[in-house]
Amino acid sequence: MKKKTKQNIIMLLIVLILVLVPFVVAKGGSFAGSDDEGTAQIKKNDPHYKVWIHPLWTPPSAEIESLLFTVQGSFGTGVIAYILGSAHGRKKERARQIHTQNEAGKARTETSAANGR
Amino acid sequence: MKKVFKKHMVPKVSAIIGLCSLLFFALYPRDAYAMHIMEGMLPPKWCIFWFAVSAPFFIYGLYRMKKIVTSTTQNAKIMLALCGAFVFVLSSLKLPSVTGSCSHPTGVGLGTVMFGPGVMAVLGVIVLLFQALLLAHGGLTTLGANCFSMTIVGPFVGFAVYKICRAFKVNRSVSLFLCAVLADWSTYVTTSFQLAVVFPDPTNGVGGAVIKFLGIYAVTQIPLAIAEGFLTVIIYNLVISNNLWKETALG
Repeated sequence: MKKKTKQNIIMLLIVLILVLVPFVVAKGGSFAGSDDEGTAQIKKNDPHYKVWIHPLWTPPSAEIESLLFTVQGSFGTGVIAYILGSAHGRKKERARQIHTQNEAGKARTETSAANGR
Repeated sequence: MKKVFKKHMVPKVSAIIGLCSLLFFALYPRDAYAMHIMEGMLPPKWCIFWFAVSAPFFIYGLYRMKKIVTSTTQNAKIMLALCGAFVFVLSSLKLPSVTGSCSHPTGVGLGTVMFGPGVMAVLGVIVLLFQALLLAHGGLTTLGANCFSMTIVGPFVGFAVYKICRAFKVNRSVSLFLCAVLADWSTYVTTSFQLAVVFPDPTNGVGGAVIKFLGIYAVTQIPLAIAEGFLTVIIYNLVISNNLWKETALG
């Protein structure tokens, strides 16, 4: 395996560990990130603060929200995968062309050598 | 040989740091939230203030972007798209943290290193707008403040870190890693300050509030920032190994 590939896999594993470890470490946590909790924290500091504007549109349910987050993520992943994939293909194609050119060049020198004799 | 050794040291050292911080957090699990500033959570005058602060950076970003798009640098436009897509992906990943709450990375480090800090102001705003309009995550009135933390402070801090690391001849991957980690982390530190100034602690004032908000935002973000650093280096490695971008173009 190439050194870079190995490096990438190691780093990916570390990311995986970083994501999984919280479930072991913070067992009591709710893993929420909700707006209500945020509001509560600010309310604690300033009980008189009034939320003066609300979002124009809120996803009707947690399912719809996760759908939209998934759309966002997969859109980005698609773009990245396309760019990297096409570049990878181009690189392979170029390597193949150089290879065949070299083969052709070798054959030509061989034939010209044979003709010269 | 020495170079190989160094490269393998990076994940090891980070893993040790990560484990140490985990031990610390294990003793203090608590609930927290860590996200962008929500709609309506800043008074109108602060919203206007942050819009005014962010606007010049956004315009500078547009100017930089136009220059990049019209430049002859190979694959410049494609890489711009890739950096934008990277921000899209990373800011959609709400990851669990050791504090028992969730937050998401920002993904601005990659574009910062490739194109400089200005461009991220534009790419970041697209993502923030998407989330504010469709996901009720962040907000339109707080867009200025969220822009300032995620697309201005983050990239500028990351860029400074990268430049300093390179000046000290630190390995390129390590510099990029640190750039991404600190760009991410400083975003949430900024958010803490932005909230603390508006909502000072009743007894301890702004200082007390800063500590409280830092405890919520910045602490949760530490492991996520490290994860983002690794993901950024992985994508960067793939970009380089597929001849999409010349390493020397990064300066």
